[in-house]
Amino acid sequence: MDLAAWAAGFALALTPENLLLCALGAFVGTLVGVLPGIGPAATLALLLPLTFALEPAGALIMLAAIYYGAQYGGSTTSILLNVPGECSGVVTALDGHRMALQGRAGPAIAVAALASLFAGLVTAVGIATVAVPLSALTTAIAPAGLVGLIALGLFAAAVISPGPALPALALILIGAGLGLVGTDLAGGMPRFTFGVPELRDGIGFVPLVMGIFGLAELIRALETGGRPERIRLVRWPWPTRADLAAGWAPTLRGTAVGSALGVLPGASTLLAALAARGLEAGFRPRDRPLGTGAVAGVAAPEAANNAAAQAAMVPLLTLGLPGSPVMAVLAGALMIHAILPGPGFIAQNPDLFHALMASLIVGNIILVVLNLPFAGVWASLLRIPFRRLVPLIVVISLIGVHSVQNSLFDVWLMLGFGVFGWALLRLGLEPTPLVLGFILGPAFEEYLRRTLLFSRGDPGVLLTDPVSATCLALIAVASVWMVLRRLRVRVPA
Amino acid sequence: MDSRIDLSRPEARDRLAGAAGRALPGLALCAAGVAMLWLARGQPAWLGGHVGPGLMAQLLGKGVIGLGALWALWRALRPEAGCAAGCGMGEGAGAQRWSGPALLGAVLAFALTLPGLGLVASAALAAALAAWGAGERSVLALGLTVAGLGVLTGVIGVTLLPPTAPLWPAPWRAF
Repeated sequence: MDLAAWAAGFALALTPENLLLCALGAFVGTLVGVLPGIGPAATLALLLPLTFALEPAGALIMLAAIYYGAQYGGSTTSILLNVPGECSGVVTALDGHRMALQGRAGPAIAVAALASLFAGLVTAVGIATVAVPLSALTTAIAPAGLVGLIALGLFAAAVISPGPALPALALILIGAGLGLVGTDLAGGMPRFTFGVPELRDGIGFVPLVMGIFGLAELIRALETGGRPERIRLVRWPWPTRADLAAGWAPTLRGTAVGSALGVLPGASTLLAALAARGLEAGFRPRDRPLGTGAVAGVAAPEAANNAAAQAAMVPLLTLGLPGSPVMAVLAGALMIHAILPGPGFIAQNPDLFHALMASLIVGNIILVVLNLPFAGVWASLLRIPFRRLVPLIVVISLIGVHSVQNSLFDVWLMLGFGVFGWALLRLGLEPTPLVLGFILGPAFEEYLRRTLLFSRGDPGVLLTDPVSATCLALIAVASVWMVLRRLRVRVPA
Repeated sequence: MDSRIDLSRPEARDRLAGAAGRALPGLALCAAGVAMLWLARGQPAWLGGHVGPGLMAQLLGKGVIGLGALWALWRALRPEAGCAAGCGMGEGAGAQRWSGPALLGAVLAFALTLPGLGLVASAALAAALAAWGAGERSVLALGLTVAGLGVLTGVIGVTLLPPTAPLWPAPWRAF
């Protein structure tokens, strides 16, 4: 481990401005996690314009803090109200809310916070240790290999994302198509711009994510409706020695599972939390069986989802593969600051990378301070009717989109993508994979173009390059396995 | 075995309508793929042995059509899937049926009125529509929301946005 780099990272993360941005991000993230209806990806998208004026390090630190803050916040309402503000909170609620019903809400919140803290600290150190050598390796991968890796990452994202894989893959391809709009980098000629000068630089990332996440997700939250009004009083939350004894081993296992799964592109925090809980089913809990208010049922999924949330940065920063919509928004934020995540990112931006890792540690500590004593206060925010928040969110989105370039065209684009996202939701399709395709499409085209240039137009090189061949084989095997599994489900024995 | 479907029977018509409804999302994806392919027709896929600007778009268009068709077929043949168009939007107790048109209408109103009314008034109008779409029916609450968000927009505009931002109605901007 490079201690000098860590020291430089902490020096940058602990400047008053970055510390304030980290605390602000953690605060906003917790708020978002607590309030169901608008997820972390939408919040990151909404706050993107605010980060334009910031230095890249400050912007990245704040956006990352929002992301893992949302994981923390989601657990509080899962435990107190059985209302997960963030998807992975569903798993925590299974035992956490049972503990709350038994009058042990305080210890449940404390166990969740401590497990998340442990996982956050361990994963931050782990990322810094693993990502640097991994990043050095990725610079040696040929363009054909990168084509295969991107294809595998997108395939994994489609397979693991909520909902069926086939339409998710189709939406990724549509998103990649949207990414082609603008001036063709190779020929310098405009592509699919319809003579609109504003499209020469491509479709703006902010109006796209605001339309797809901000508007469409808001409409979905309103159309599905239903929020609780009664909040239980939470006393000072501190677990007993027995709670701590029952929670430490599941925390360790949850951290390991979350870190391992988080590194895989497409693996969500929900999947990590589910896997951690599944693993706990194989061990005998020290207090009571899972599902009846076991500490292990809170500690393991909380550790896993926080570890996965942070480990998801590894494929983004080393390969340029955003495995989830949240990571896609983070990638977009970096690109807006003229920083390209992927092979070479860590080598070219060591200070930024280590500052981000240091801020993960600082941010996790801030989150525990924010969440433990004020859990009851956070939960009481749910008393604010959602209908009072909606106009605020809409107005801030509109000002944000318009202010990026002082352009009315971006507002029209946002409206177009809002309609598109809403139409997809009405059709029962999940629109989020579109953003992954939009981010990765241009990179995929660029590497494919280079590959075919070097091979003089022969696509067979994708089967002879070892990295690409391995990725394509994995895609083929997984596709066949999925089809066979579906057919087996259809034909009764 | 006679595999023909007798459309004079109501249950056969229902089954056909159900299959068509289930296939709709896949067919919509196919339509999107066809549109992509049609737009890409003017861009050459190859330029003298090199990759042209249209290759990726054509591949993507064909991919979307193929995946959409597969999805439509799969859904049409699986009556147990039972999830027709619109199934992604289940309704809970506090569901707001008109939130979609209202929120999209808020953005439309903002875009249409911004050049004439300026940012503050347009944002206030959008806030009113969004609040109504979110289920706010109290006139007092609507008024307070509009006033509060108008003030917030003004404060953001004056303190954070560049001086070129059109904050006020067009005739006032000259002064």
